[in-house]
Amino acid sequence: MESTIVSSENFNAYFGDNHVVKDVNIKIKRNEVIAVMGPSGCGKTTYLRCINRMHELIPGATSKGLMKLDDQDVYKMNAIYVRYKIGMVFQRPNPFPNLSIYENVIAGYLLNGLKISKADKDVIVEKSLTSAALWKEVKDSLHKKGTFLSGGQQQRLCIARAIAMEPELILFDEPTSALDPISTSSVETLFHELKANYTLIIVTHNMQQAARVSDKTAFFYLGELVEFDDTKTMFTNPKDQRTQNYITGRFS
Amino acid sequence: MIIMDIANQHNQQQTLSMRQTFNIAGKQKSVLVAFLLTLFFGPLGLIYASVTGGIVMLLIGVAIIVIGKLLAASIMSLAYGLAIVWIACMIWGYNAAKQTIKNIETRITFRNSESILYKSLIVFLAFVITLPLIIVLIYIIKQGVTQVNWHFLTHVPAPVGEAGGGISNALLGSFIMVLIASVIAIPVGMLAGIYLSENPKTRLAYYSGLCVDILQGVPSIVVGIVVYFWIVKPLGTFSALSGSVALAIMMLPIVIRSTEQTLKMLPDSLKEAALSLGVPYHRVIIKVIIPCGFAGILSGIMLSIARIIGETAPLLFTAFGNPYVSTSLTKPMESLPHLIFTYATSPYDEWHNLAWGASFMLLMFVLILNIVTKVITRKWKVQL
Repeated sequence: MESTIVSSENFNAYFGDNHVVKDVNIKIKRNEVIAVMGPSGCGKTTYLRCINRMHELIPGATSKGLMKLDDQDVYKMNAIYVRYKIGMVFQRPNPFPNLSIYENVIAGYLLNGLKISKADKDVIVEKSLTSAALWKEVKDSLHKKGTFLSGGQQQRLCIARAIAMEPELILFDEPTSALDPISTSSVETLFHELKANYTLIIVTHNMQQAARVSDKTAFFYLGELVEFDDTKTMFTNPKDQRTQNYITGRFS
Repeated sequence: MIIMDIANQHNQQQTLSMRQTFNIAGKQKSVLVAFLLTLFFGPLGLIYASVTGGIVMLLIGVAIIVIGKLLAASIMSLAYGLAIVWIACMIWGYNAAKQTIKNIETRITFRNSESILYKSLIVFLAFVITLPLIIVLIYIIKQGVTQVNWHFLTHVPAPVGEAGGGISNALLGSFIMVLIASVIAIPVGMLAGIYLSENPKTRLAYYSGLCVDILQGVPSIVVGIVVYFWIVKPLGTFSALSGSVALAIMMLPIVIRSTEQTLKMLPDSLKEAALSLGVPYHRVIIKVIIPCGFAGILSGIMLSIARIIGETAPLLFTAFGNPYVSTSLTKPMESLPHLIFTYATSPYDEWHNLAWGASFMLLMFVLILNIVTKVITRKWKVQL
């Protein structure tokens, strides 16, 4: 049974007077991989940050419209609770430099002061690192600082950190743009595995990446959601002229 | 192939030699002649290299003599003035003659030797600035180290005419007052520093940042006198507490600025990572921001302690001084810098020795604090 996890109706976002996301209507289904693509400054990252209410943390940033997570209005929920339920992975790997790999994975519990037993911690760490395809590489150095890992490993550690909180939805903000091709491909493989349990929304500049990893693709242009369709349809038979121009690289 | 290469080289040499001179107007002048002329004849010699320069320097020289005569200045000060004019003439003459050189290679040779001269000047000055510290250290250690022994550290100063005596009252007093000042200033300073780094663009941050800068520039004696009117006068007595408050005020700006600067260096991504995990803002500050900047904050605190431990002026009208060991916060209390001040200005040799010993102890504290700070920042620095 397919059910909608995120939906927004006439959603707008602003930086001061700057209207960056315009009237976005979208319905995202559970256990799908959604790629969000578009040129720089088209509002795709802003839209992503609106879903878990990170957008409003920037001074002067506001939003308007309906954003629903599991049929609940995100903007009527407690922001902390929203971010609890939605994981996020950023453009640059950002493990906590003062914490070990082990502590980084359970950072969501540690930093929130949630008490869990040592046995539970071990289980969560192993499970999360395994799902993030990092367990084999780091199981002998769990108590080293997270920043000693390579960039790709750090990014997978950040993914493990997001998974550890058992969210339903994970947002990726250009997760591979700071990584080399090998690390990128390992993160992309991971997306396929995560699909079984989570819904993923991935913002990317890279069209090939969008085509490789996603089930559906959303194309943003100048703050508007131009097209949202199955990835195959989008790349072979786009309905909108602007999408076609972007995909074929003929944007002026 | 080889013939081609030789031909090429030959061509290059030709093009080089064709461009070996600049089209510079005027006759070429000898740098050596210009230098010797200015060395012996000053402004008059400068006329060879630069006519304008010669006239200007001649006028300046005459002006110095005239003004000197009018002000009835001594011969020595006149001589100093003229020596400066002389050196200026030599530099001017050298430069003016150098500008007329037409050959590229000669010019480059001049430039290279100038670079070497500047480099050695910088190295020399870098060495020179370490000298004052070394001289002060050697002198104080020489004078003070012989005074320091167990008796010196555990006894109060002896009355006039008696041998021996120590500085236990000042050691304990300095320790207590610095401790209380830290207890007052560190929490306030850290919180203010966190505010400034977290909200750099607000109006309040701008004005409080300005106040911090001004507070840092307020002379310590002024702080002392203000605290005197705030606390000493209403209470009717000099007290250790008022001394601590004065020291805390001196300490605040350093703690605030170092906290702010340290936290500003932390990337925003760190805060976002924590917030995206659903961590509330106050816990982000306590659990992420402060631990990551801890080494920097701590080193700021240590440096501010090193700064206030030697402050005398704010204590003159506040803690005042006490020849006996006292732990009461509402009574006058002795401190190391105040003891040095009173005993060094006294007419007795025994008391002078006491002041040297106290100076040595004070200097050691400051040195140790600085070295520990360096070690801490290196060891505990979080790798971002």
